[in-house]
Amino acid sequence: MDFAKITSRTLPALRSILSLIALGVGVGAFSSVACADAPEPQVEVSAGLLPTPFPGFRERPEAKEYAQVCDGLYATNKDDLALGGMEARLLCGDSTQGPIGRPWSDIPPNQAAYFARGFFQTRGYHHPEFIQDGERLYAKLGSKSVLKSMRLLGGPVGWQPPTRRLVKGEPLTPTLLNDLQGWALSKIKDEGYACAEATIQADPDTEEAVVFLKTGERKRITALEETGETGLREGALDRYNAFIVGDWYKDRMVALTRRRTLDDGFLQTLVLTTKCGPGDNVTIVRDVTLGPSRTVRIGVGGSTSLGARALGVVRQARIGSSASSIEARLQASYLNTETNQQSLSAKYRWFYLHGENRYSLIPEIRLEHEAVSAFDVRTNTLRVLHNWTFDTTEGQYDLNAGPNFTSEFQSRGQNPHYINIGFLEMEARWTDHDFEWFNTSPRTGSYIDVTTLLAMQSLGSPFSAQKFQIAGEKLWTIGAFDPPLFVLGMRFNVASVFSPNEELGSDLPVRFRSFLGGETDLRGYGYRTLPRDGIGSLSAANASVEGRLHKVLFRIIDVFSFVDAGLLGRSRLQFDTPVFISPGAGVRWESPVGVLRLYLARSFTALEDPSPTPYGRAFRVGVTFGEEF
Amino acid sequence: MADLESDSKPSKLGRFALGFLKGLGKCLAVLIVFSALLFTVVGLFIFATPSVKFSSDLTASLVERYAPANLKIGFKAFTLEINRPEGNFWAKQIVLSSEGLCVQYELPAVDVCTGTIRLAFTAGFGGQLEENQAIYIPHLIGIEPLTITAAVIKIDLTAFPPSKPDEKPSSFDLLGFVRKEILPRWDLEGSRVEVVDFKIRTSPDSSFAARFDLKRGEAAHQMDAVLHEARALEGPLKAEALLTVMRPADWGGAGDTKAWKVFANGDLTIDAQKSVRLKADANIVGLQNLDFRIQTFLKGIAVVRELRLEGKIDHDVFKGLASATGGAESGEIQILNFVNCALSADLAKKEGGIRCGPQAVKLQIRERDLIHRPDLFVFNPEVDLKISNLTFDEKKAADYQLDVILDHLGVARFGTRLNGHVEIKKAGVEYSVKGRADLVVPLFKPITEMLRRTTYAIPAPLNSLDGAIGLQANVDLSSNGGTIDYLASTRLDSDDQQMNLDVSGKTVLEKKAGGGLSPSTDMTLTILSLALSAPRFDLRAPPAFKPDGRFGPINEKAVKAQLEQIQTPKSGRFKLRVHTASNEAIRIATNLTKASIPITVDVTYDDHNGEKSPVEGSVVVGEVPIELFKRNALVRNIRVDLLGSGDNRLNGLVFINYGDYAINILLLGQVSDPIVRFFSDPPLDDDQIVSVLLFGRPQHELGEEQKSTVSNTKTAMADAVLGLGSLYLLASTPVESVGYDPVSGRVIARVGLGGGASIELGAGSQDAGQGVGFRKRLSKDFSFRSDVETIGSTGQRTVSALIEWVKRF
Repeated sequence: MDFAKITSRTLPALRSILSLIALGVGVGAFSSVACADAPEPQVEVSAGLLPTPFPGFRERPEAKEYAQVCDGLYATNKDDLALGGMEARLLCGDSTQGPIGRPWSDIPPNQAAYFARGFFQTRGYHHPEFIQDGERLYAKLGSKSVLKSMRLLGGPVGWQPPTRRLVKGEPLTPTLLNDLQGWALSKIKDEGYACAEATIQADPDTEEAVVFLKTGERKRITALEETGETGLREGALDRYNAFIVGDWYKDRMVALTRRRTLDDGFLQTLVLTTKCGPGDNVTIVRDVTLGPSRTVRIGVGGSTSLGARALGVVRQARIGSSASSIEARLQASYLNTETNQQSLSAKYRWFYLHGENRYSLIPEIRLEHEAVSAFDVRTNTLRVLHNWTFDTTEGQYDLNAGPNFTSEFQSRGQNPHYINIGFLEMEARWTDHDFEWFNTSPRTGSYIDVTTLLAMQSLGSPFSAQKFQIAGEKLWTIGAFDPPLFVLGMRFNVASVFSPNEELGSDLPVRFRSFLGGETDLRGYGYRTLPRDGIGSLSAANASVEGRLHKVLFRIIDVFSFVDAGLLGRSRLQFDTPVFISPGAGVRWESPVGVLRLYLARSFTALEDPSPTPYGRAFRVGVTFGEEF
Repeated sequence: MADLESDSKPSKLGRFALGFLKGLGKCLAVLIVFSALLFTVVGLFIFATPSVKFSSDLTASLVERYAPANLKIGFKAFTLEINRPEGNFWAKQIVLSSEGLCVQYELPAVDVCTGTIRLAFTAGFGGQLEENQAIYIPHLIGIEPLTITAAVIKIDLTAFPPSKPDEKPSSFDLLGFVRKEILPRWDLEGSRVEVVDFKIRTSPDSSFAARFDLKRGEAAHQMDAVLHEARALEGPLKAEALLTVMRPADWGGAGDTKAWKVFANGDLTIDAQKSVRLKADANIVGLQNLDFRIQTFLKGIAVVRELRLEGKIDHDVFKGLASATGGAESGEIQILNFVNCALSADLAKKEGGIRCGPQAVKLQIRERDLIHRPDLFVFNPEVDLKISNLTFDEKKAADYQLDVILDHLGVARFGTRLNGHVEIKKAGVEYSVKGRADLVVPLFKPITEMLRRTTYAIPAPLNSLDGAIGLQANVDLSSNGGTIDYLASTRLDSDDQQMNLDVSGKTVLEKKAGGGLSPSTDMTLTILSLALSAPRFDLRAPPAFKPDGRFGPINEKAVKAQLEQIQTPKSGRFKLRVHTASNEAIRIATNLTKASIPITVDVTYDDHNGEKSPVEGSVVVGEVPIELFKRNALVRNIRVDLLGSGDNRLNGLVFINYGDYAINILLLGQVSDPIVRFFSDPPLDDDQIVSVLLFGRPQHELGEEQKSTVSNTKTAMADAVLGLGSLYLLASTPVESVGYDPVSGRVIARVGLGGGASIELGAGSQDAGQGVGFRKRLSKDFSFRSDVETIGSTGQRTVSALIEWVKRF
């Protein structure tokens, strides 16, 4: 064997053995080179789920930024944490003894860091950094993530959802996501997609939230089912329906139906749920809990116009199988000795037909005293109205007509008198569903009301006179925002008395006469202070325009301004100068207990004839609780 | 006869042809004889002539005539001399010498210029013959020292023409010829090869330069190969080396038993941080025995800093020892030392191996974050690697057996024996592994204590357990797939808890069509006994136990797929069955119940369940006393059947004894939307039962809001809006009121835990668009009501609001 031969056989073998050794030692081949005099290490926190170990961190100057939350846990933004009881136990350990507390008494820092991630999310902190030094956990909460933008994906083609307001800048928390998801779902359900589903994702880095919708098919209400035994005639509850079978589904209308039913005191509980059917079918299931039929309500309130108010109502609902009702009401308000009201009324609402039964007869007795600066009147009224309501897809019609017998004694004001009068009272009112739904936070919709009072000398009246009154209101939401950013409203009221005797004036009952001033028409003038003669006018017209910026101060307070204008006339359909004008501005707060409005209004006139006692100009401050535009 | 004769006579044409052929044959015979004579004369002339010299002009003429187009050869002088060596008439010394010889092949592929070259060798008959070598066949007798001076070599591998695919490799084994015929006859000692500039380009952006010298050494019979410098032109790679060969003075004689000595010293600098220094020496005796020592210093290349290898090769048997020092203070492996690990190889038997006995290996890894126990990070494994059936010729393969035993401070014991086969093929490495590994942690508590201050700490409530954990795995794998069977068990307990689990399973690895292995796992977790404590639960403010998965990068595709229930195809399979070995083997202690909750489980998760749900099975909660609705209650049982259809069917019965009547609560339907049914003895309607449950009184004794709460609760339960957790929350919290909005699905319960706390159950929008409600409940009996009413005697309408006290009766 020569050298070449032996090397040719030996070298590969050696190479193999050395390779195996190298394989073993090469495990750490990528390890970094030691550095004997390394400077103090920087605090570099890894982004993983586990905390970054950093022995001796407590001695570092950075550690001073952390405040002790509990034994073993230090955190920045400590004041923002306010740990709940269970949160504290899961982060700091359970100090109670016993079989429950003992196993959870020692929460290691890595586990605390895991729990803390969830807890911090509920406070909007999504980029916490955790450093572990022995048994201590240092939690740096980082910056709070707030919502910067939001998108809805998956809606029907061409659908432009409104822009959700008042959420930008809100901490990005699970609660906010629930809210946005529920809001998006309610919006798409209002479009008819009764069985839509939604899910949401939010990126704390980009601070964007995206709601993904799965709409399914657009649905029509094809049936109405009822569960629970009411003992009422079939269809008795349908009188409250704000939807019509066959309509496209609208979530809001189902809720409005429920609200109508419960607020009328008809039922104690009503649950309306949707049952998705095949195709475009959806069924509304009505689960009824009758509850007691009698209600006592005692309420208090107030405004600058009427002063303090009190109300007492006793009501018996669901009388008979057609669910008629009877109600006694006592109400009073008192601002001062010149302005106060008291009334006592009792009425019975008799639904006399079978089926859906939106027809009723309403006999009512009403004893009333009203004192304002212009007059002091005591009125006794007996009236029997026939009522008919019905709903269309857009809104509700409410028609009333019947005889009214009034006995009125005016003890103060021009021409004190005592009148007994019988007249025919008719009223037709149309309210669209949106107006009704947003009644206490007006933003859209309209209503119009036409009232006619017909008094004829040949039919129990000492004179012949007819009062025609038309009033209405229209609201617009400007811009596709929800809640709205700007609401523009307009209202009007025109009333005039027609009588062969133009001199009637103060001989007419107060109800036939027209007054202006106060919250409902001319806000720069006192309640019913126009006309100044205290008699009232035979004709009156007023209109108002109001613009309101919704929740623009501190996200809770509205700012609004308005212009009210009014005219009075001493004869039918004739209006005299001056024109009463009342611009103003104020703020509005939807408080947890109702709407508070504070405004400053200016009163002045235009086209006023020269007079020794001009109307002049004045400011008036108004505060209302519950009043809306 | 005449006819015959006349017939036998050739024709004229035949005679002419015959004559021509005879003449031609004579001419050829003369020519052959003449040529033979000529060659003989020339041969004799050459042999007889002491010296024949061919001039440069003749060589130049031959080169010009016969050299291929892609080969250019030029020189100042080139001579070929044929001399008769002294003492051997039958041999010739052939001397080639040149000056200024330049060879260019496929320029710029090869460009070589030399100063002078002298190469001489002797061939013919005679000289020292090899065994079995025929004496009458001419052969190479000896090669004189080679001299090449001032050589400049430039090679560009990127410029070589592509080889033709049909080009057959030469059958002549040049290397074998050189190894067998040239080297043994070459008098290397006097050779001198001086390369003053060597450049080679291996790729467009990689080229190297070198300068080296082969010369006679200082001592007698010594030859030095000096690599003055080798460096990368585009990088910092640099090498220097000196190889010294000393042959015995009388080597080459009949008994070549004296040792050749070889010394090597070299430095390789890869970059500023990486370098290798090599020192080696070897004694080669009779070309059959070899002993050597190699010492290598590595810097920045591997974790090993110094590697020492010494050994002895006797014919086919190699035995040696390997030692190493390694690790870096700042690295993951801080110390890696092994001392005198035994190496062995037997080329005849084709086997070898390495064995590191107890304490031979010291591996110290970097301390894991916050553990201050350096000894924990020092490992002393015993390693025994045996290699057999080793081939390293055309087939590169080996069988192996690896045994590793590690007892780490008595905290963990690990042992494994793996054997298999490794083969390197063109397509890649093929391997097979078969064997078993065992890991035993005899004491869990020390592990918990060790990890306690680390980021890998055992979480509560498991960190209070002590006991043993064992793991065994059997492996039968190859590059084409295989199986891993495993068994694991825990026997852990503490004063309050216990965790006795057995896990058995098998993972099958199958080769995927696109390459790689696809795992399919079938595992069974048997719960022998599991008693754990749940954290003390706060009903009023349950925290977010885990980060909300809705936060993170927005993946529109994934969410859409989830909404559309699109399933993405999965490779591999994972199947896990979790079951209790006996009834109620699980017991969960919680502050929500008066005793531990007994649970029986048999659930299977299979991510390849086709259209069916991946989870199937049942969970049964056994009898447990509980406080519900401020009363002692008894959960008779709650059974959840997880069906393949995705339905999680609930069937539960809770019993509450109220003295006057016994109430049973049936839980039916889906777990997420349980339907609650009541029945009592004596019979009461649902409203009455809920009234009694929530407020302890019949409905007619309740206030309006309480009645409303009863109704809302009953309806919410009937609507299956509340999950089981929410139901429990309602049932175990003193409820003041419950509000339910079926549109938004929100259930708000005001509970009597102080502070007027409200609990919101169910998800829904806080602002579904309405803003201020028509009637808003402020407290138990008070509400805010907004109404359209006619004010005064003028009949004007306005929206007014009052705070009301309301009573229904």
